[in-house]
Amino acid sequence: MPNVASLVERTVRWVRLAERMPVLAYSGDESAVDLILYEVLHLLVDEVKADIGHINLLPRGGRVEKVCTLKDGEPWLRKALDLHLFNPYQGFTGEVMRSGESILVKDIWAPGSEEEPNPFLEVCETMNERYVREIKAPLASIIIAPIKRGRDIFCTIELGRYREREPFDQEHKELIDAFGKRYGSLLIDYILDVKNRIAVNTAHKKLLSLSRVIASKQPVDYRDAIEAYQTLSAADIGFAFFKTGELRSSNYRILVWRGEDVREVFLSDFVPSSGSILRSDSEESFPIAGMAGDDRLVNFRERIRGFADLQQQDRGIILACLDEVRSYVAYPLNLLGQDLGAILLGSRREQFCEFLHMNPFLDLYNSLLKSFLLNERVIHYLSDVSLKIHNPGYYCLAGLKGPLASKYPDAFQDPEVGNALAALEKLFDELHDQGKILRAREKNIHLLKWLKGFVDRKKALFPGIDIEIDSARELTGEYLSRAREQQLETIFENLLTNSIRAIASAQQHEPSLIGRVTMRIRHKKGGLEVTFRDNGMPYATVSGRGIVQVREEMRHLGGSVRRYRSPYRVVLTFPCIQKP
Amino acid sequence: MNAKILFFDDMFGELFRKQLSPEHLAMDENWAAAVTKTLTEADDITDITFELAKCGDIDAWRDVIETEKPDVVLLDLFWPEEAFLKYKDRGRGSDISLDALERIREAFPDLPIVCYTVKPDRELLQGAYARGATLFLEKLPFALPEVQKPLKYILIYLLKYAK
Repeated sequence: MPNVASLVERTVRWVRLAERMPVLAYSGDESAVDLILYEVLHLLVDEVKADIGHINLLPRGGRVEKVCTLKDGEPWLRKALDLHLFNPYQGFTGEVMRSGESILVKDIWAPGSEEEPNPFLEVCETMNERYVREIKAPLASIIIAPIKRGRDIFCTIELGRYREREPFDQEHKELIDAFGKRYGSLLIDYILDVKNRIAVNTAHKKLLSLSRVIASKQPVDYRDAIEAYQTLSAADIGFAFFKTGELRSSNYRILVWRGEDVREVFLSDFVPSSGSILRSDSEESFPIAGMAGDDRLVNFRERIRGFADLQQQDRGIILACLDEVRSYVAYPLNLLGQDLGAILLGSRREQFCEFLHMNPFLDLYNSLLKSFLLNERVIHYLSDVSLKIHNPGYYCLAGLKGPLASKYPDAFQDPEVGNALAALEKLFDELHDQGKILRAREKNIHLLKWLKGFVDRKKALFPGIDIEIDSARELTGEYLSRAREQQLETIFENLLTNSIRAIASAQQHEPSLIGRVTMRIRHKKGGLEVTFRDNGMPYATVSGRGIVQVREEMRHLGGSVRRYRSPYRVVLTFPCIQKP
Repeated sequence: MNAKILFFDDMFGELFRKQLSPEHLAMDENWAAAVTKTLTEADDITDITFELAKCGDIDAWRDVIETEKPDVVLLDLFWPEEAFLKYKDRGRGSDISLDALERIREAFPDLPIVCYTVKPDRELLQGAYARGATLFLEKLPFALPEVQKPLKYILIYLLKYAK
């Protein structure tokens, strides 16, 4: 029977863990989730002297994942292993999901009987070979405990002991149950809140970048656009179809992804079959859930197999991914009668649709993406009208007026003909101008005020990080930079994203570190110099693509970018018109 | 007196020509033929013989100017296909020419440059003069040589009297 002193010690350890959560969540980044989970798992492994432990998160809609695994006190699960997503309705976890109660198994390898088969042995062969060898093979006894919100299980904790050791007993199971009942919901809710915050940030960042792209009339980077589906859904295979090109054409850009690998394939003159999710006139009600071998997948597979204008490698990848899909959910991207494309979220697991549905953040992203895609197409069509009025429109009109004036002067001077030509020209002028209003325009931007506004917005988004502007007193008057707001946003968003990542990395080594980003602004002959610096890990910018964009935009602005290693900082020089 | 005019227009380039149907292209070509005829045909009034060099590659401006050694540059202001290549936005066709204009002016401070486009707007007019245009004209896409004749007199003024 446990003595009073050990009970008090245990209570103190559990309470301290709860107290540490806010500190561990400080970075507000995916690393914060890992830090918290490993701390929880370490504590539980120590409590029952387990050798291996897992925490699995099971939100409906969103990522169903094995989020961390400890083996001999060390993190075992790595992103590259591609083992995060799993089916919670199989094995002993499946029993816990069905009964809602925790389970103690003395030997997971014990042969079952005909009446009571061993659920682990039933699925063992379908599991990843390395996972079975390194994690399951050495184990005998396990405890799996559910963490519940009402009757809904949204997390399981699994602890295991090696076969040569004494198996777990009822007391251990009760201890884990007690922890689950007292702190489980609180801790896991907290973790899910942090994950939700990250999900909102991810959706927000992607939408912000899309809106910037569309505001500057740049083409959408589709790889970037699908990242939210990769990150925020439980799909391990996905297809995104985006309709592109002119009004009457039927070209599709397909992005197919499997884990982290993304392939972009262009299908020219691909006319969707009747009933396809790519057609808004389909009578289906969406989203559609389906599985391997259904008419939809088989039909699409046949179309791709026989589609003439497709490179062998592209065809191979699409077919290979289709063949791996065991269950899927498809969302069309239709709006105002426009077929903009579709998203298909697929899984290698059967009957996984429940988890493939989009979570609220991805759903929001998906809805807004549709609007952005429609917006992009409308801009494209309107610009096209203006361009066609410019040429050939005005040339055709002149081609009519010229010969009329020289060959048939009487007809040309007839007021009825003259009025009709004038009305036609007026109509052309109006349409021409309407297309031109969508031009991305540069304007004089007060750089200091703009930066202050940017920093204020970011402070609200990253309350855990000090973001400050250090501007010299001599900066009187207005420093006007000839630019588009989207260019400045691209530059500073990229730099800030790199800083946030660098700070999060530094906080993994030093959790109490308070992130700081400083923009030191000084007058420089002919403009302003902004030195961007943070106290994160002193490595070169994490995002290679980011710095390329920064350089490109600074070049368009006629400025320059310099990077220094020690301490790491980026110096931007903006040419400015200075008004007293 | 002889003078050479370098005629920079996207209609002389392959990028643009690939976009238009033959019947639409014929309209542009008729206009260019009318301008060519007006400028190169001798008349009793003027004493300048113009020679025309045509170029549809705006990026080659330095080489072309150094090779052709023109007395005047005629520069079209709208290059949609080049803008699509550079910015993925055909609507930014005038950014291509304004950028080139600024560089030509920097490299050849005394070279007269006459800019033109169909249906210009205030922003373009101001932008062209800010970057060093000598004259800004509205292009009239009529294939009638007599409509293009004022251009000839403007060029004569620039070459003989505007120094």
